[in-house]
Amino acid sequence: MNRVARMFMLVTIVLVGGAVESRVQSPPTLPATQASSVRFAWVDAVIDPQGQPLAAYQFELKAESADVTLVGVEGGEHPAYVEPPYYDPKANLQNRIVIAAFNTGEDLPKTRTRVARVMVRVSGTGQPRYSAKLDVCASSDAKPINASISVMEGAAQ
Amino acid sequence: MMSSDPDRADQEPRVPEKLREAMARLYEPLTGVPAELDSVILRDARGSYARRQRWSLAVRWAGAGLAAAAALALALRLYIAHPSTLRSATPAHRQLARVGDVDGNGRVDILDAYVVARAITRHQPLDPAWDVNGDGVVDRKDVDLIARRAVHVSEGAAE
Repeated sequence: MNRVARMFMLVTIVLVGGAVESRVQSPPTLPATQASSVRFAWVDAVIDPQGQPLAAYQFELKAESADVTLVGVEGGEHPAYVEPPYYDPKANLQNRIVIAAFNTGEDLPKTRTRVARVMVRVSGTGQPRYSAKLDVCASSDAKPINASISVMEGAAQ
Repeated sequence: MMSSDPDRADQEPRVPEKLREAMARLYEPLTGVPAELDSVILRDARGSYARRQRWSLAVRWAGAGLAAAAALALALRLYIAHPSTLRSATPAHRQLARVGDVDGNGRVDILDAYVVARAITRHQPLDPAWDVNGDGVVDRKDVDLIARRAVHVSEGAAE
């Protein structure tokens, strides 16, 4: 019995040791050219509803001059738009991506606010140029409001 | 080994002649059914068949009636639970609902979803045509579907 227990402990130690070793192994290194040509970034979309309550928005975002892949879209900074907006996860940023959200509550932003953060992967050495077009911007009575949109790239990794 | 004994044959009991004739009459084959008996049997069989036919017909009609009643009850129950299910809408209305263009401006955008969501949140009357997914209820699923259609840009359906 004692011998069996010792054998069991030995096998357990060997297995656990193997698992730990496989975890601490360093990840495979990418070739220098590949590693340096891929970076992750984000693009913030900011809307200024100019004093009107922003109940709904929809805009198009495009990336030009670089190979940009959509990674995901996060919500904004105001509590009304903190949840991720609607977007098509299969959208191609070289073509366009449409991002939209609404809020039926009373607490709505009336001043310039970041409504969404688009996470992207940029391949190549070129600097992408982003453009946004505001399609829909409405107040809580579903009436269009005058608003402006701007986009800016966040710190790259 | 067999042996014939004439004395034993004389000792066998003798069956009376009348009994023998009666027994023979009892077991003789029937030569024919009397016409009266035949007609009685036939009448009885016809009556029994007719009764069976009537019963079968009654059972069929009762089954059909029960099925119709069950279908009516189900339809009534559906109508009470989901009034929008059975309400008729115009074809154009249905077409708009299918597409999701709630405000009728010719395109599906986030405002269509917002209009429906606002009506749901404020407990306002809901248009049955807003049932975009066709499940008989206007709810958050319809709002999500309209919103997804509004932002859909890739190939394939938005659902």
